[in-house]
Amino acid sequence: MKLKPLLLILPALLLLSIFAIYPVFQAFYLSLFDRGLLKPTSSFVGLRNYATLFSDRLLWNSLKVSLIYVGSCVAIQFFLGLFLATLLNSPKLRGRDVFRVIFIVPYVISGLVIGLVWAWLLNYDFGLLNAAIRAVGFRRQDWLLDTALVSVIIAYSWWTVSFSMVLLESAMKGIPEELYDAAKIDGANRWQSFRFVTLPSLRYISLLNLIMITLFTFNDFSIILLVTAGGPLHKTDVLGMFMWRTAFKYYDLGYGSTVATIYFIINIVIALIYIRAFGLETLGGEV
Amino acid sequence: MRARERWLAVLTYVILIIYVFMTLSPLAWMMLISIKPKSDLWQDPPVIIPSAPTTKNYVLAFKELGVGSNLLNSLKIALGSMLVSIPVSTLAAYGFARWTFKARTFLLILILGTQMIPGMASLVPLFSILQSLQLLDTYVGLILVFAAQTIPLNIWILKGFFEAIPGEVMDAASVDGCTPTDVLYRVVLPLAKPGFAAAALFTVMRSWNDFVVALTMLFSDHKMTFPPSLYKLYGSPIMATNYGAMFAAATGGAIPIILLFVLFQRYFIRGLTAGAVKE
Repeated sequence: MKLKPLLLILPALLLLSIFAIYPVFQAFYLSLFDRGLLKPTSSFVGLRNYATLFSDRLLWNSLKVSLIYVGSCVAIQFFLGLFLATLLNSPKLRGRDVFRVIFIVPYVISGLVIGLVWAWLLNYDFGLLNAAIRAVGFRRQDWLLDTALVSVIIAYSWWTVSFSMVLLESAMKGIPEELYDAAKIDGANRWQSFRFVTLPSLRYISLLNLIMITLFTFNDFSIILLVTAGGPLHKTDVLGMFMWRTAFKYYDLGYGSTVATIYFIINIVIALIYIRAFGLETLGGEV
Repeated sequence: MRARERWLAVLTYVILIIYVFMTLSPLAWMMLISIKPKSDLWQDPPVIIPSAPTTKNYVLAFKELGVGSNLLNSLKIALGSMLVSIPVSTLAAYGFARWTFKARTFLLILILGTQMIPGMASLVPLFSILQSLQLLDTYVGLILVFAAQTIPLNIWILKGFFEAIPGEVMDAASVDGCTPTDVLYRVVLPLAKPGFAAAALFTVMRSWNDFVVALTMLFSDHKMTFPPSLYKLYGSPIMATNYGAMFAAATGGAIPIILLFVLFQRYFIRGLTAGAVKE
């Protein structure tokens, strides 16, 4: 056994063990207790938190909302990202780098700032959207009432779409020119060479991208927190929002950990689908 | 055929420009609100172009509401996270790139696999871990959490760069009497500069933009970083009296990171695609 590389890896491993791996077990452990956030005392309650959680109407609601939210956000990000990447990849496009940089800008900004901006864009009285709608002669809408979920889906997708765009665009650049030449010789038009050369070459990166954005979307609620805070009537109450409220607003650490454990399990299931689809080795490239 | 090609090209530009407009208008609107005088704020329908641009909102936000010091705190934590994450990741990446050993595959998968652990769900247990380490409400606690969140991808980015350096170069240096540490300092590090830029940028952005971790783990107002302080302002009376100051704060927090991104976009895009696209 060589000692040197292990010693080099040790600090990273130590930090990750304490702050990334241990929390998974800690969450499960805490979920077995009745414990307040800052209370030093706690009592063992076994699986009672789970029984309470599974009969909690709000859990099932948040799972349903999360499914719609994540599904829609992922679909929009992926297809819009693919579309923009294709446009950016068109031959002889001028200003390609400028377009790309502009499209990425929202993605580098904190979700909090983005949430604030969208809360105010969609505001009933003072929002830009309603001002625009009234300028062209329509009646203004309350975007954060019946259509609240759609609104936060659009806001989130607007924020993060460029991640998929960048990934897909760099993969497109990596497709060998010869493949397109060959398709041309066979008489393929632009659509056909996109359909039969570009898309099949993007299979791997697309699947990878889909899993990544699924996890990112599922694990972020900053936009929702600012724009709707889960409301109205829990219509936008995704699992992250529900968990955070339970643990840090109602100061119920035990119950919050129970939700966190469910959260972990769903993430692991998504990750397993990923590993199943790609094989273990893709997790670390050519390990 | 020619005409069709031309139409397609025109259409491409039209769509791209529409999307540029969709991308920039919300941000432009944020900046416009930040320079609106108070009298413009509560107009219905809203005033789009400020009637008399003012810097008052910035003075209010940065001086009186303390957003300036929040940004400074964010900067300290971002730099701190970088100073922990980059050296730790460098050592590990070098270990993985230079040697083959028994547990290599297992350790690599374990480390990269931690990326799959959601930050969101770790929040509750992390709170109790920092509590037992007495690191709640400290920068050290936050820096360690951010370092742990960025180490896997940084190892991955740097490992790629280290592996691209031909083994012969390192061997030649060893033959010349360099110790492994010498090889790392004199040969590997200078050649991997773009990798460091990408990793550093990723780490700074991640911690600068973090919201939930800081909001959860910090309590003292004077320690608060930028995003949570923005959230607290959002729930405060300032929103109902002079929300122009909110948008001045938001703009002040967004501009530095946008500048950083535009200046180093090449490295940023590299970091973004490092986890997925093989070079």
